[in-house]
Amino acid sequence: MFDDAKPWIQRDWKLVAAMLIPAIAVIALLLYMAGWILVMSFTDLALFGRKATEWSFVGFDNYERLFKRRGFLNSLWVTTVFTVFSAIIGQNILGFAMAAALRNTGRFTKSFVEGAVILGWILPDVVAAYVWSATFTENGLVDLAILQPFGIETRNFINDHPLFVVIVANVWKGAAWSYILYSAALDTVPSEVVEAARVDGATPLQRAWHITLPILRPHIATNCLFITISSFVYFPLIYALTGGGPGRKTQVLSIFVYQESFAVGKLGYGSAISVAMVLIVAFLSIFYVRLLKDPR
Amino acid sequence: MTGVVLNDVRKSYGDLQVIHGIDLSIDPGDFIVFVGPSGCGKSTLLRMIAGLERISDGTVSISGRVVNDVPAPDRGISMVFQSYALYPHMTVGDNMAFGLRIRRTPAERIRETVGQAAEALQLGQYIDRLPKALSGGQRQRVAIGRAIVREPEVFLFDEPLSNLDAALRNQTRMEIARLHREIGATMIYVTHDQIEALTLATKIAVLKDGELQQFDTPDRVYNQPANTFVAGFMGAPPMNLVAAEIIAGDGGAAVAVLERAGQPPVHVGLPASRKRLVGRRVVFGLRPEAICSGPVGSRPDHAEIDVDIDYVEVTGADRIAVTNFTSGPFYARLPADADVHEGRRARLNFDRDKINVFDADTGARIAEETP
Repeated sequence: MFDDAKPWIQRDWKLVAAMLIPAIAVIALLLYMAGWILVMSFTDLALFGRKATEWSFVGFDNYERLFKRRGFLNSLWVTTVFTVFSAIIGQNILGFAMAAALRNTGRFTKSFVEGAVILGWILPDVVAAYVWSATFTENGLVDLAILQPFGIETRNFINDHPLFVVIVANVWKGAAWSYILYSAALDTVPSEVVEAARVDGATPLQRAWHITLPILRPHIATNCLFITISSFVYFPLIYALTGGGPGRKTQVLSIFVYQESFAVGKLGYGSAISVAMVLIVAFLSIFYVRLLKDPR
Repeated sequence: MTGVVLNDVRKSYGDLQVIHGIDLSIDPGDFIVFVGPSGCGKSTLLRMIAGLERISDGTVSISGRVVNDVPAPDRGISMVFQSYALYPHMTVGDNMAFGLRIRRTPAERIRETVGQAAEALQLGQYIDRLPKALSGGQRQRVAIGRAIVREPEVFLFDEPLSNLDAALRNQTRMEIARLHREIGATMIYVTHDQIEALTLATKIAVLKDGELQQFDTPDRVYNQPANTFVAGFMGAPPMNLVAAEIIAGDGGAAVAVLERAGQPPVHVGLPASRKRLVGRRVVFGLRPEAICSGPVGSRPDHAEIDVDIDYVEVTGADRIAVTNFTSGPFYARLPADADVHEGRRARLNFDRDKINVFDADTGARIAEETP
């Protein structure tokens, strides 16, 4: 097992064991916590009241409840819509388009746009939520700058189209990541390959479709993997902007877990939702990792 | 078949001009090599012919048609790139077929054309492999195959062999030469390797700093370089260049006074065809292989010099003697059994008719006088 290790490591087993302690401790802690959640998901443990101390195992009751009560399926749907439109479509395409468009622009334009995009990224979620709240609220920026001049009736977007607002906010906040990743990825496409396609007669669109995108496929899969997972479990911006409402209209899974666990106090149920989220994210990851691999 | 004509072609990036008005007329079926040191503009010139680089001024014509504003795919050219530029996600067959598919060639015809090219290039068994599963030489053949299937009128090669190892380079060079013989298309080939230039070309264009130095057959470029730059660039070791002053000798014959580093000058009587040089300052150019070891003996056309041998390089067939004849290195390519040794004095001689003469100020070649 340690055959290809360095000779001095092979000689000193005690040192190797000592060096491994931190890693083992971290892994053990992670496994303990994950195991704790898994065990709790089979109990009726509550945050307060009688069940906080006198809890008992309830089998698959919590998991049955996922599908029998309205909350989970609604949140799963909201999360899916949120993730597909804000991450996979919004951030991904906007990030790629910006990276492609800014490749051959002057340094000033590029720096300016990059600065603006990254500013959104590094702004704390709560501040961003305030900015978007001011933008989309009744008589906010959109109403005053776009709707009123055209004589359209003003409205409170956060009430009327809450999911749309959080999607736009998340696209704005997360596009920088995709932009940075795709900027770097586009540099890896050899210019001579693109030129060869040009000599072969491919139009710019054909070059993008037949040459650049297939070469970038692993980068696209990596990016999708990352932004899908991060959007799927995203919490602060949405919570600060809408609190999951109005009603359950923007109640994504992370907010649903939070409310069931800490507002309602059903820790067992909250654990079951978390386990379900982990399974969904794991399934998505496997899908993307397969996409990463070469077909041949 | 198609010729290519460059008429006062220029290229500028902003205020910086990199190609300074090049005129070239390439006959149909010629194999032209652009050669020159790094940064001389040879690749830029090729890319301008290809349509990958805009032409700032002047015209490029292919088959008598000015193509300045014609997009690359419509110029009737194919290009082989230095990095091969294969599409990494496509198989060998798809790489070759891509251009044809883009042009909506019927599938049956694509299969046939690609199959033929693959057979001709011994790629038949690799047709379903990805480029990364191929060796460098095979990749280069795929790139050539991709160029062939489009049946271009002009082939453009941008340093196609520089990523190959020495043995493979020789082999691929011969394959390209064979390809030219078989297809007979016009080919333009960029390289900084003068051996490739001399062996492949029907005509060589030597470039320096964006200017054409000489455009002629390999033989004339090598033996009668147009100026001191070409003389020094072509050949390894390069042509020896020695400053000389020409004075009048007995009976008005021209005698060259060759300046030497730290030693008295050497007098060399010149042939009658060099009479008009008297009074001029010139540079002598002498190929290392024009120099023989030993005294002149019974060869009246030869002149002899005595030198100290600094260094002897044995290359197998030859001994390259580096001497102190001038301030810089002065090379003599001698037979392997020549009696020259490091640190010893040796007598060398050379054929006076093989001296190239250049103007000391402009570096331009001074032709022999015709009687």
